[in-house]
Amino acid sequence: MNRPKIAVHKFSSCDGCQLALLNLGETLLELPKLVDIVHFAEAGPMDETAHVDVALVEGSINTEHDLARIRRIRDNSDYLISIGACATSGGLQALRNMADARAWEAAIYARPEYLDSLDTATPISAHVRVDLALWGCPVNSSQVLAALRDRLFGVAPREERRPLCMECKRLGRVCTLVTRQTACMGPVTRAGCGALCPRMGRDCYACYGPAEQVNGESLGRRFEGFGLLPVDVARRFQFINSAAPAFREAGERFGDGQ
Amino acid sequence: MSGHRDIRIEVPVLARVEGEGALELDIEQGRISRLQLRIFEPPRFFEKFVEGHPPDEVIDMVARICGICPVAYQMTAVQAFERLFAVDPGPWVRAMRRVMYCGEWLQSHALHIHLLAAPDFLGFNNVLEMAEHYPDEVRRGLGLQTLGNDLIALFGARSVHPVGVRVGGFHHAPSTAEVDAIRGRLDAALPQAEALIGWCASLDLLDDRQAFVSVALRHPDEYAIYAGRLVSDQGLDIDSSEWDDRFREIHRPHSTALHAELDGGPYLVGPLARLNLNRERLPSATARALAATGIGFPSDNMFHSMLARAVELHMVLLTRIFHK
Ligand code: SF4
Repeated sequence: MNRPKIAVHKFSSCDGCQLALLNLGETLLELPKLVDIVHFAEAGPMDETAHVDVALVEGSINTEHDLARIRRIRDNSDYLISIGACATSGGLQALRNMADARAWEAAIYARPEYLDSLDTATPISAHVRVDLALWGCPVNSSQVLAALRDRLFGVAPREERRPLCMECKRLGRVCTLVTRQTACMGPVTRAGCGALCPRMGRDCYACYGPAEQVNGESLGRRFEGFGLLPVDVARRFQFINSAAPAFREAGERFGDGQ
Repeated sequence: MSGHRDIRIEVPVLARVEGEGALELDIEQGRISRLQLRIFEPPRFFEKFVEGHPPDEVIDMVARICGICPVAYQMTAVQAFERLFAVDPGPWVRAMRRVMYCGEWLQSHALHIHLLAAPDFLGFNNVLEMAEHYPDEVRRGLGLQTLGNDLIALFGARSVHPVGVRVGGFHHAPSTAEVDAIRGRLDAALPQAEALIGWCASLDLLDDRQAFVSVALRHPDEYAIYAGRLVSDQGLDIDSSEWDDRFREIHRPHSTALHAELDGGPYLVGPLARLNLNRERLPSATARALAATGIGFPSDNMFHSMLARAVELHMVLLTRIFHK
């Protein structure tokens, strides 16, 4: 059988989304039956410029060198999937987009002139067409395997857009927002993680990005009712996915001194 | 070095490492004239963007420094805050945080040995190729890695960027049933870890001795993982608050990862350095398994790092999980 070729590429990231594959345990050994992994530097295979059927891309675009690389990867891939918050929204490091990036460089590095660093951390979709975006910090194995299977079998992917609250209810969890007045982001965050934070009795912090129809205004007001200052509310939205438009806008509404 | 050859090696992207790095090596007349490990992973500015966030948000943020070792960052941050606030979370929390940390060592060591390092020693390009010839060893390794991930998830709900640690303790304690289940699996894995020690010791390694300074944490009554004093084999013995008096970070042109020096010189950290400094704190079962290999520590052979990982992997399986 002619197995489809896949590549896993890394940009600026923590490598955590690649672990959706590397943490598969014995299932990892089954993967070559399904696909031919031609590039995956952390796992070993190295053929960065090969033409592939599916490219999985982790990380945000942070350097001039990244810009050239992502264009070449797009040219070489039939289908490109951004995996995780960094690749899909810019991730945690996109917090620098709201700051003076040059001042940050000077504050941390003795010799900022040694660095190749753009002023912003941007998602893959800001530079090339992305065929499917997977949210999460990190994405989990079932998301990545489902995306690969859908593609290999020619099935249209079913994108999860519902809010985490739906998943939380389905799992029969006690609502932390209602019962404990935590600033839980479940009502505006995409489902898919398994409601991990509510299961731990704590507030969701939106690592799966915005759900459809984010009503940030109303949730933010509720948080204010719990005693959060507007700047605290803004920070809830501008966290792991601060550059996702729905969260950025909601954050600006509260952050700009209301 | 025999011969007087000129060699130039450039590896633009290193395979099977975490993060992004390149290696440049020039040998002239049989002597190394230039050797650079170039880390080109771009800066993400954690040092700045954590500013202004409340402690529990910072604990969630710093995990994202590294997907393979998020627990290390979370434990460092939570202890820094608790020290600032003069909060002592008590013996149960301290012990269970060490258990969670053991989960990280277990998965990270198993991943490192099998997915990153061993293929080099055995002449394979990657673990999938290696699995065709060493199926049992690879399965054993992947099983240990999974067990480590599950141990992290016991306290943190997931193994990458776990969500359980907070100032003062944990967000949630595991149930008795969950603890009992994993305790059984840890016990069952001990013979596998013992076999892994023997396997790592049996690999054909270079006898490459070098002089280096080992630096690690040391704890009065346990193998230091979560807490301890900073010690070296050259007499260093300080509290972490005295770090800046002895250590210095330097920015080099070829690397975005800062270099660090102790008293103006290089030093080694990691499993080999830790085992060199803490070998007498190993539990007796682990010490026996190591003694059976005939390889003595402290070792000045860098190639013993993988064996040191296997030894630590055995040790963390003996960790005790208990209820409050
Ligand atoms: S999205 Fe999160 S887990 Fe994935 S690479 Fe980025 S920081 Fe790591």
